[in-house]
Amino acid sequence: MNQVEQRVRDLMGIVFRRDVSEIEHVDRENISEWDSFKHVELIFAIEDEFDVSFSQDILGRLHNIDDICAAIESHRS
Amino acid sequence: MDDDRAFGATYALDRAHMQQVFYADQLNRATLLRFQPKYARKLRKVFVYRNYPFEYIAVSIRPFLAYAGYQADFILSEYDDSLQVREVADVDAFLFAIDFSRYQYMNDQELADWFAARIDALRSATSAPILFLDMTVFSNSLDQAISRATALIPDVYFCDVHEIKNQLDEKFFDERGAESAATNWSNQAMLHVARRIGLSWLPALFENNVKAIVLDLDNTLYEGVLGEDGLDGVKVTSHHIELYAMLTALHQKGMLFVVVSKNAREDVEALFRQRRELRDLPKILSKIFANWEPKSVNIAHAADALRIDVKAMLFVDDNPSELAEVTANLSGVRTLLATSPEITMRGLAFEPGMFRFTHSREDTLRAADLSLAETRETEMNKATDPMAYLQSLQIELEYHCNQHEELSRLAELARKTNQFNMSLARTSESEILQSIRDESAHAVSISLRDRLSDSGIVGFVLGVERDSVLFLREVAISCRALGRDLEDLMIFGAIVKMCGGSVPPTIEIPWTPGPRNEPALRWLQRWASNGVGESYASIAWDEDLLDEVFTNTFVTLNDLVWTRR
Repeated sequence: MNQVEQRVRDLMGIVFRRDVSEIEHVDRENISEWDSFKHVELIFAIEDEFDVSFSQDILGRLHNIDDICAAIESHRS
Repeated sequence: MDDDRAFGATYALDRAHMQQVFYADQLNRATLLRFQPKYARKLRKVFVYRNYPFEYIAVSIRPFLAYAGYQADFILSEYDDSLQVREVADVDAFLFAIDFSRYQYMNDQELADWFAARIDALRSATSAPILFLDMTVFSNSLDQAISRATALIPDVYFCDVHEIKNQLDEKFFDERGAESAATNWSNQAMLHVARRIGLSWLPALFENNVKAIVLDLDNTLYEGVLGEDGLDGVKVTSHHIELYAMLTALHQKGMLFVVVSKNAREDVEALFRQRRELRDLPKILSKIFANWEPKSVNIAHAADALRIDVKAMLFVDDNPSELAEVTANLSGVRTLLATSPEITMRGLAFEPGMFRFTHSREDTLRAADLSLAETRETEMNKATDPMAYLQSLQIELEYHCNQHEELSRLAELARKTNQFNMSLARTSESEILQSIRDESAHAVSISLRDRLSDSGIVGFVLGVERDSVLFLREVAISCRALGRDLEDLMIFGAIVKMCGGSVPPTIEIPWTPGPRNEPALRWLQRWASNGVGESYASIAWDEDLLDEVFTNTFVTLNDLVWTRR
């Protein structure tokens, strides 16, 4: 697990108020706490954590941890 | 260090460590979310009436409230444009978060009147304070119309989101969320408003204000150490000058200031005399403690001299060890770590307890009144005839009954007075108004002035008559009015004011022993017919005795007519 994913999981744990470190594929479908309100909170926290800002298009596609980490890496590079 | 002392120091140091985060211009949600304080927090319950997704703000408020020492349970109503209000038990505050843009068929005045009626309906069901926020329209004219329409409803406060919107300008909005999240507020908008709610607006309801700021000198009010760098070596920057201006503005609104510094007194006096930039600072200082005592000792002396509780003091120092020492030894003192004048200014703007929704006339009178209290005391001690001296002061008392515009000040007295407070009932403004409306109660204010100063409203008596007994639910006199033997005139004058010529034969005063209301107990013991019971004392109304009180006095009684039956 790289540092970006570790930090995203850490934030997810705080936002969803549950430990997601052991869940391999963190997805809106398998995390019941991940509703629309939590989604906004999570995305804002991630944008602040990594100092990025996602476009409307990208935002519409961030529904699991892999997509989020890929979007962050893409912004940073 | 024992547990209580350690708790105080932990609280101060945890908060000091996070100041930069909470007072930043650009707030960082990820860092804020990670704030998990070790200290215990006070639990509060807030009910939110809304027609707007307040959930984003509610989660954002959590870290700010934690920083202020609170944990709040936000209970959100269903989305309801009609704002059906209902009684909700055990709520510490109500909040209306309203999308006013949804009421397109009403103009500003119609909308304001309708909304005020909703708030009034809630006010009939509860005495808890009520806040309201405009989440969408941000129109000065609407805000002002609503403020006017709700002005006569007690304990209702407008939270000015407009100010934050102006500050953030276009960064307030983020259209990315407009469709999916049903809000176009940006992350920064949510966090800035959450900060105001969590650090300023809710704490203003939940706790007593900061009344006095205790300032360190070295590396707080200037750069450098006076004892090492000398008078000319310490540096006053432009940010320090801005800070002095802020302190002066706070002083004009009634804030008291004290300097507590580990320096030689003569060095500090020379500094204020000789450094031009600092020459005006002594004008705002009520006391200067410059010695080598622990700062907690000096702050305790300052609290006595200012006649306030240490819990109403904010201690500002650049040294975390000093913050720890003070909080370990003086429970309840608030602290601010002065890492720079910029941070000090931001701390003074955001520190819980600094914000007030209203400023009373008595706030602005306080500093002047306090310094003249010392003059009175000094002159009285020197006087060969203390009674003649009191007479020479030309003291006047003035009594008003059921004046709506005074209710806020009366509630403040009930809430904050500790030494001369009989019932410790802490009656709120809305409870006073409810008593007047529903029980024909009388709320009497007593104002005090003499040839030296005007102290404003310093006494409050709330009375209700039932079956030939007058119950005095509140008797509270500000400590600034004590020490001049005026308590008899104040309390009996208030009774005459509320009852006119028909005072019932028996006065009953509920009594609650508190840690500091010994002066109130001594007064009751002097007048109670059969001693002071566990929860009340009775006084028999004796016109002969009171005739002596009212006629044998050098005090002028305004707006009061005493005639025997």
